[in-house]
Amino acid sequence: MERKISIEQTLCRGCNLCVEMCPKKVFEDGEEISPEGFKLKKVANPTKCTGCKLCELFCPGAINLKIEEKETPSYSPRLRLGRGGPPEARLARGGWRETKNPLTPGKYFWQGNKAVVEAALACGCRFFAGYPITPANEILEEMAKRMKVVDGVMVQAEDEIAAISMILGASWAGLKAITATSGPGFALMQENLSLADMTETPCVVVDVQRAGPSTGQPTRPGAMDMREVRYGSHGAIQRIVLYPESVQELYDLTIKAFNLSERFRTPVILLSDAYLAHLSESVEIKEKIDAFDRIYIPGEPPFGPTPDFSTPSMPRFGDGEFLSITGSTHDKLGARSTADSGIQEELISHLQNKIIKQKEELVDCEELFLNDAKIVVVAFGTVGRSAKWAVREARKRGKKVGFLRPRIVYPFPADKIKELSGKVRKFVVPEMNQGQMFYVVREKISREVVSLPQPNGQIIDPRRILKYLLGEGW
Amino acid sequence: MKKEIIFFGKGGQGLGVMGKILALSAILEGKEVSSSPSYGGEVTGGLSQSEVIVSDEKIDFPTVLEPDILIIFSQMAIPKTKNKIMIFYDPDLIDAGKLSKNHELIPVPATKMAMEISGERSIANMIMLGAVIAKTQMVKPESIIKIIHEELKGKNPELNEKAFMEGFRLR
Amino acid sequence: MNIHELRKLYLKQEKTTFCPGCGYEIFINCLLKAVEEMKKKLDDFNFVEGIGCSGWVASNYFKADNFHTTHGRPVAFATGVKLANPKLNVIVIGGDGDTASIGGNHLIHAARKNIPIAVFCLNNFLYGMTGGQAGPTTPINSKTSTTTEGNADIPFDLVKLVLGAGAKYVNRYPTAYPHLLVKGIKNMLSADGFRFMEIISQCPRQYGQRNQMRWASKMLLWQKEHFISKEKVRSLNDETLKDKIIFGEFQSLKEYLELLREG
Repeated sequence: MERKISIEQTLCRGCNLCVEMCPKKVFEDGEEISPEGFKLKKVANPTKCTGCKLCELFCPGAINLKIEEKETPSYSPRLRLGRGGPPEARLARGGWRETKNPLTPGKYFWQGNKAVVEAALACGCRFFAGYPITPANEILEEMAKRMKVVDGVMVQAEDEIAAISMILGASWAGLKAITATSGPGFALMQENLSLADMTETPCVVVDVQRAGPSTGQPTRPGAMDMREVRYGSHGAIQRIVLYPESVQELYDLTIKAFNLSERFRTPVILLSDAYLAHLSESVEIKEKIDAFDRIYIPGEPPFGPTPDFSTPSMPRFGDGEFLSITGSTHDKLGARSTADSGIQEELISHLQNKIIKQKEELVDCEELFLNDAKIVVVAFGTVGRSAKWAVREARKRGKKVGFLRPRIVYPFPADKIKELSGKVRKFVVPEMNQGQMFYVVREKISREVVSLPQPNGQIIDPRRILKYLLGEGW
Repeated sequence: MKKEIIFFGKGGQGLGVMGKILALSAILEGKEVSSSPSYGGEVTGGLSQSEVIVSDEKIDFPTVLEPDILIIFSQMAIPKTKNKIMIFYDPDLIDAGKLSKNHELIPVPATKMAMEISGERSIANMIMLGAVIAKTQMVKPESIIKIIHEELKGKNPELNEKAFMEGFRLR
Repeated sequence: MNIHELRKLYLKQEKTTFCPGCGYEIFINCLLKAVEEMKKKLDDFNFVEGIGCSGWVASNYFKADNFHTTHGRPVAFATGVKLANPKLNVIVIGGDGDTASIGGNHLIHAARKNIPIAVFCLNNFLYGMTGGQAGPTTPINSKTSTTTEGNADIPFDLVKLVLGAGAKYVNRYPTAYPHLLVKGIKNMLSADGFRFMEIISQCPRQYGQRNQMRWASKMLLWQKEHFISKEKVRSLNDETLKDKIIFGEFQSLKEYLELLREG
């Protein structure tokens, strides 16, 4: 056997392992000094080499050990091809598609939590991970039953941190994924939600809010995470947050949440609460659903920044793109860049703007009597039901009141509010908390904004809002 | 048409089933239905309350504010309201003297009839439902019967149908 | 191909940013060699990493799909990837802090559920990247930046922990024996179900320097003194065995406890 040993000096790190670990003392310190200031190694006694290969396993790639063996193995891996073949051999995928609802069209009588499950399955979600927490439990239980039927995956995770981790992993493996929790669990998910923002990972997180803080009243409703869902994660982020008011909307907005999440490659938070989750209502199911699947264009960079703040192409594991996904600041190929201020700034700008630039499309409000309203009740989610009742009753009594309910809470429809503020005297914000969205409304306009807080774990009695509108105070 | 209904009784009297069958029958006829989790005064001591709102139009607020109909198997405090409420009650379980005379009181001896029909109390809820539907005409009896057969499959729907019809014929 | 060539083929950059003498270089070499000997390609595998030096192994250098996740969570992420697409060969590379401290819960539950992933724990006995703080595996009396008088806490025996959680295949090899490491990695990659490997690695910069082992070679000699193969265990008496840690492959807690003479 012939052995050739050489050292690529630029790769030597000066660790000395070759010199000290070679049983035959083949290597020695040389005379030359490296730029880092250590003695470069030399092959001093090549004839003593027995071919044990210890040196090359210890060395960070500098030692080039050639041993001619009788049979050369026929191993010639071809890289840059991956399992999917070269980019031109792979197919682009994704975009809008009209899909048939797996359920027979018609009217159903569902609990809120059930509607979330059916909507997720209908638009193609096939992965759920979750951890038991009241009042989101029925989603977990129903997923356990239903995922089996549609050949999807349901995992009961060891905690909420694992649940969000799993859905992000599943999302990159190519599945639409969802988890459901309540305030305490949502708090645990914040770190990985920030990772989802950074890595542009689509997923839907349902936060079935309950009265807090802390354990609070697990079976009682609240809207106490209204700011947490938007501002809770570390780092500079944009979030899309939806809050339905009825079981029908829970169904429709779950589908919308998936579509937005897939289109903008961002986590979307779907808010619910203990009241809505356990409310049963008639739900109308249509025959067709418009579903958006993430777009993949072979060979395109998988991350931002993109030239026009558009959403980048999203490959999945196994496509052969050598995906490098990282929560560290990265360039558009996913290569980590933890000190370059330019790359950091560009990436943040991309993550913000890919959502903000679409803000007109992200306005979805229910409006009532806004034409001549002097007082406008701005309500979110479930409280909208109370407010709408009160506004209608007040109108019957001749009061010029209007009603505005953003279904998409964030990005907050600031332009809409600003436009209204020209002719409206006062905005009123009833909430099942101590006043959270009140501040969001107030920071956008210079009109009077009044907070009507009710953090007592009960849905706001519409008669209480009516009394306020009739001038009886809160 | 919009009716706000409260069911009140002890656990195990089948109030939930009753509410669900009414709700599904209304949906079958294209109506809007809301049934909210119990709200308001605490319900304790094994008593349970369920609520259903049935309406031809979209329901603004899904919890009962001023009930139109009470269906009671246990003594309850009647909500304060200016409305005249229809109160269906089982006279063998309820002291009618304690119910407000301002409302329309409709005794339905459901438990006694159930024992006579089958020897089982469990179908008293369907007898009561029959009486309620006959009086209020909220939904068609055929709808109820169809839903009974779908929802109570394997739980003797024939007997439940019979009980419902017995109640229905009371009025 | 030799290691020099394999590294040129599979690494995004040949010169890594690991400190001179880092055991993770040995792990990279052994992993590449194992993959070659199995006649596979590096990109047949899907890597998931956490935070810390171990998180840089695949994410910075491997030409393969990888997901560089949050601290402690790679096992949970990997569970999601694997269950969503069972065809993927999912490998977790984590450190001792990553897998056994902040991520300890995910580790034991993945083992309990027998999630079919291979978890490689690069154990260098402390938190290297953040400056050498004590970790869950820091040996007793060792000096770290948070235990300057010597560590008083009993370290985790990760093999025992993971076997105790129900894993059916666990192994442990020190970097001092790279040929055994290659063998261990090959077995890890070919076994079924949940697999766990503890790679006893050296960190001359943070651990060695504080514990009179400034050079990597000294740390490897220390490994050779303190780690003993399970084949040799039987010939030793209880007294000699006392300070030794056993390495090799283990299929059950019972087997391991017997080797420890605790069974």
